[in-house]
Amino acid sequence: MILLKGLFAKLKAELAFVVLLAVASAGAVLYVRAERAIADRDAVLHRAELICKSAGIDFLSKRPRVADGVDCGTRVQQLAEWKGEAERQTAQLMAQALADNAARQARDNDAARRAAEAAKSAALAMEKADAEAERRNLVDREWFAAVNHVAGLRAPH
Amino acid sequence: MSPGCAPRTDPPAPLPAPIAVPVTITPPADLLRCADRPAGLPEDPALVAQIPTRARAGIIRLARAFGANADQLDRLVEFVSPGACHPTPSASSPKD
Repeated sequence: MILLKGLFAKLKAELAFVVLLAVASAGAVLYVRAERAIADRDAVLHRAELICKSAGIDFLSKRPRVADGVDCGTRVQQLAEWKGEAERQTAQLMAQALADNAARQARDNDAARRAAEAAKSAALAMEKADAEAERRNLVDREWFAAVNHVAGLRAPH
Repeated sequence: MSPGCAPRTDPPAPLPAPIAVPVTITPPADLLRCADRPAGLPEDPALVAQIPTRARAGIIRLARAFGANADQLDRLVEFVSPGACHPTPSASSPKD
């Protein structure tokens, strides 16, 4: 008890110094925080300038009554829209091209199948007609017609 | 910025709209002609002949190759420009 009383008495005597000490330490804390805030602000500003430069627009506004970064933000937004639109159109063209190719393939598969069937039946008829010609040692209208059929030709009028 | 630069007073000009263009392969027109199919051999009942076996086999080979090549060419032309040729002239020939 006596010890505490002694301490209070001493503090009372040095009150001015104690208050100065408290104010000084608060000021030091504020100073450090302000320094850090300034450093952070500079870093963010620098980064913003770099970002805007890569978009082709200065971060600092050159127009009166227009805040810094507004034009840059507009341009970035335009670029994003441009990219989206380009991707949309590209995807559309790709889908169209794929569908077109699939349709071509399907059509060609049909044509190939029909051609193969026609060639097969023509070859069979040709074989028969040629065997007949071989047997008779004579080629006639049937043999010529089979040759025309194999070649996909019609007889002249 | 140099002081000579006039300060910009307009907002940034809008970007040109993107235009995606498909790249198509367009062969020269003469590559897209359909197969030439002339008149074939005469089919006359009065026309009979003696042709040696080897010559007959040769004629048949030629005819078969002609038909296959013409079909393939027509398919190719049809693939590039659909509807340009009749797909199967052997089945529905336009000329006779």
